[in-house]
Amino acid sequence: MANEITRQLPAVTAIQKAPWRKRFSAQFIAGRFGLYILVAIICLAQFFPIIWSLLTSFMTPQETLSIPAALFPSSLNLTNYASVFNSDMGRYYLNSVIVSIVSATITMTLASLASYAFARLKFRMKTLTLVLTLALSFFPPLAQVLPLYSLLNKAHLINTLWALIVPYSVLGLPLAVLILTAFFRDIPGDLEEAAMVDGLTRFKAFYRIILPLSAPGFFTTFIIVFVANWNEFLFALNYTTANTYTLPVGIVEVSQTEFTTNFGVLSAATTLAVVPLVILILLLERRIVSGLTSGAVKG
Amino acid sequence: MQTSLFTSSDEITQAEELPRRQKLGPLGRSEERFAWMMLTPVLLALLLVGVYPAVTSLIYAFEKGGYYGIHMSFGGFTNFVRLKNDPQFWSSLKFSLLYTVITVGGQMILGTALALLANLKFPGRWVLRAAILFPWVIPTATNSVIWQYMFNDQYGMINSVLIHLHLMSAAHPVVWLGTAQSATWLIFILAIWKANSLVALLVLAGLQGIPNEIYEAARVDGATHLQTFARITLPLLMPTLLVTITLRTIESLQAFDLIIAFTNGGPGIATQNLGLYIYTQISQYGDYGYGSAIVTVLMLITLVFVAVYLSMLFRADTSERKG
Repeated sequence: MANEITRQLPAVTAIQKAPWRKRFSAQFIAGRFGLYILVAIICLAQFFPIIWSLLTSFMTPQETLSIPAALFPSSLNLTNYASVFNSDMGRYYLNSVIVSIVSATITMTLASLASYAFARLKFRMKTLTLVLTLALSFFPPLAQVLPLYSLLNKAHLINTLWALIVPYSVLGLPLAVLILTAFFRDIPGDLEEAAMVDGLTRFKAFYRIILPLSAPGFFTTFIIVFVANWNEFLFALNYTTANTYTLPVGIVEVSQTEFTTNFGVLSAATTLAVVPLVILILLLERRIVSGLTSGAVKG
Repeated sequence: MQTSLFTSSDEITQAEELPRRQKLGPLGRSEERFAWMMLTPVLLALLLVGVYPAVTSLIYAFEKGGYYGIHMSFGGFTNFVRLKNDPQFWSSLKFSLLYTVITVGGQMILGTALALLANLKFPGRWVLRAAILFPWVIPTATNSVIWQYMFNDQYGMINSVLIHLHLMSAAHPVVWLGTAQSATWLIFILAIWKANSLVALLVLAGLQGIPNEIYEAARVDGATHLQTFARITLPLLMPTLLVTITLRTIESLQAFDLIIAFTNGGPGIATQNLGLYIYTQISQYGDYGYGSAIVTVLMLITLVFVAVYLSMLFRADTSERKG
């Protein structure tokens, strides 16, 4: 059915090419206008929490505590941002940066080895191993928290940043392996074979040829893993104490203890937590989307 | 880069499996040994986060006594009998299921609509795509804190806007998170808002997989927009939609950060789901045995949907091969 239709294709496209004048018709312009209004409404709906958080971060305590709430700050007051870096929030921010980057690096190192095997090598039980990896990416985190806690506790890692780095490095693996395998598959095999004929070992072919060639895919996967670590909450809530809080845990803890008194500072911290990610999606939107969908990913 | 929801399934079934009895030459054997060497770290790690927690949770679930794991002893089915008679367990299970059905439904409708819009070609489309991606990128817990403040009855922006529009009097503010009903619906709205990104991205990938020629042929045949959508887009998109529903269901059953940072299960226990109840039992009461019994229930429910997901991937793949 589909084949019959597509076979007539060249004729179809010739007939259907829209006449030039159509672009200037009233109907076309009205359609475009409606479309852009719709897009504007969607953007507002998607961005409004962060817009409001940004506005609040410039407000003075008097403004955040006025009833009804002030909707706009009276001036661009940066004291809240200064307080973030002078309070514990600054440490939480640093913790988040260290934990997210170190664990994403470990995850990517281990995942690239396995993905190379999945994408490039022949071995028995490959299907089974891949299915298991996929299935484990859906294992409920709520079921992992307690058993891993006991392990980390025995290793005396609780109360250090390693209590998060170790589990994050491992938890990111299934996702990273699935996405990276898809990227590695896209690289033509000839180069690698040629290199091996020239006497490179398999491992050297992997890190001299495959890795550099898949740098964009590798980077995309790194970002996706990084974002997951940066946003992780459940493990961070259970495995940290005041010294090792990450930013989301710090924000939630502060919000639950000194909610109304400190909202300007909280908003500044929230804005700072989101800013790096917003920059990333604006720069890398297309890459991230293709990476995310290639692994049929969970959130 | 092929953007297909089934990439991973393709990989699974395309994986060139060696016949069990085939003799491997010396070269093949070295390749196989090398492959397993490369896989070892990941396989060990997966045993650690998958198999070990599953086994440990099961063991805990059959133990009783002791707090924070100290002095526990075998208790048989004690914990499961307690589950059966615990109204809090049933109310949290009910909330989890209701949350899953409503939010996944809402995410699918909204996400699909967004994807259809983002699939149109128009200048400035990247703005829409960045906007779609945004809720995914903002940390769930942090985002819930913002929403909690927005819906605060005194200092919140929502009430302030309502007062400015003269829709509400300042003397009698609506306490959004104060009643079970409005707190429940706000959680649903928040969850739909937060996850529409992922649905939109997956559906968009599915839409881009539908060949353009089919649409052009339909236009030649005089099909209206509605007919095109109902007869072409929807049926061809169905596999993608089903897989996305399953993925979102698995995820929604395990909701935790979104709820704890927004309502903390309140008012009372009106918005407590399984995740929050597990957290209360294990981390706050230290009742590892009982908490793990609830974990076991959650693992079993999840397992059902993971099985559905995997079977759908394989079915989609075999039908593709036949066709």
